[in-house]
Amino acid sequence: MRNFVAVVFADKARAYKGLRALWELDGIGQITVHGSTVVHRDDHGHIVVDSKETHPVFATAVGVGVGALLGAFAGPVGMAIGIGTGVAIGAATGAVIGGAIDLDRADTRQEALVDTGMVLYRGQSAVIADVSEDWLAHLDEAMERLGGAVHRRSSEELHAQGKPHDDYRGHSDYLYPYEYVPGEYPAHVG
Amino acid sequence: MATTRDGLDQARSAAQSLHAALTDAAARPGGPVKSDFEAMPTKAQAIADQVGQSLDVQNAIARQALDEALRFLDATHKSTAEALMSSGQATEHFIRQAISHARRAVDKISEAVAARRAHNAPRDPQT
Repeated sequence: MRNFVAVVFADKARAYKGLRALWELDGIGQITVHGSTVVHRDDHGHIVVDSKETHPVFATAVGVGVGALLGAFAGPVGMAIGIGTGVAIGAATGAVIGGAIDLDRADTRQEALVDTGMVLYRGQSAVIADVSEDWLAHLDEAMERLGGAVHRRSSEELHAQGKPHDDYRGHSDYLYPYEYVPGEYPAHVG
Repeated sequence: MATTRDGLDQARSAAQSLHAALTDAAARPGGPVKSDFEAMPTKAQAIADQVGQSLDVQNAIARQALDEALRFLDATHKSTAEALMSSGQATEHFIRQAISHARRAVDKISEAVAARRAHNAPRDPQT
């Protein structure tokens, strides 16, 4: 079964441990990771995607793509915000491009609670991934051990519910198909 | 769960590395440099050969995914070769094309890996 997962962690360091654990599960054949990235919500409420992309046009495309995936976990309001504005790109390059989605807004938070319960509060980080999994417990247990809260949306369900422009498989192209860790976080892995 | 890495696993790793190398080249400050991707057409072809060799031992779903992967690897090979023969904005255009093709190729190989794992895995009552 192919799913999009968002695993929310208390901070960046735990998120990168979660990313490592995700790819380790792939390495031992318990899940197959098609793509992943890490996003952070900063103190100003902006959501930042860790990306190696430096070209402004393509960085913005990454923001819009990942924003749409993230929005899918935050209910209809979050989805609209995600597609409309994208998320900021930065950490890896220091650049901040584009808009930001604010999932802390009261209306968004309520929608999120009704729908999937996924909210990224200020200071928190999340691993976003596109995975195939035959046994859900493998991912759930590994992330729980690291303090991560797992949220899932089936790829099939998102495609069935989406509007014609909601190409989630296309958006997942903006996820790295391997364990990408920006240079500034080496202390968080291993 | 078996963790022995066979030709398909190795092809997937190689395709992941190719995508990483292409995106690294594209992200270079000041733009991509040709020497960064001189070897990439050959690498794309080598991965395609590896995928081709593993086709016969896969199930039908995996074979279908790998057939598609082969098409994307061929497109990656062509785009990287075009990038080497071009200059300026055209080079960047062909690298972007190559990144997109390589990304799809990895995804299709991963789909094949997932199909094989699903075939061998016990059924989860939660899924």
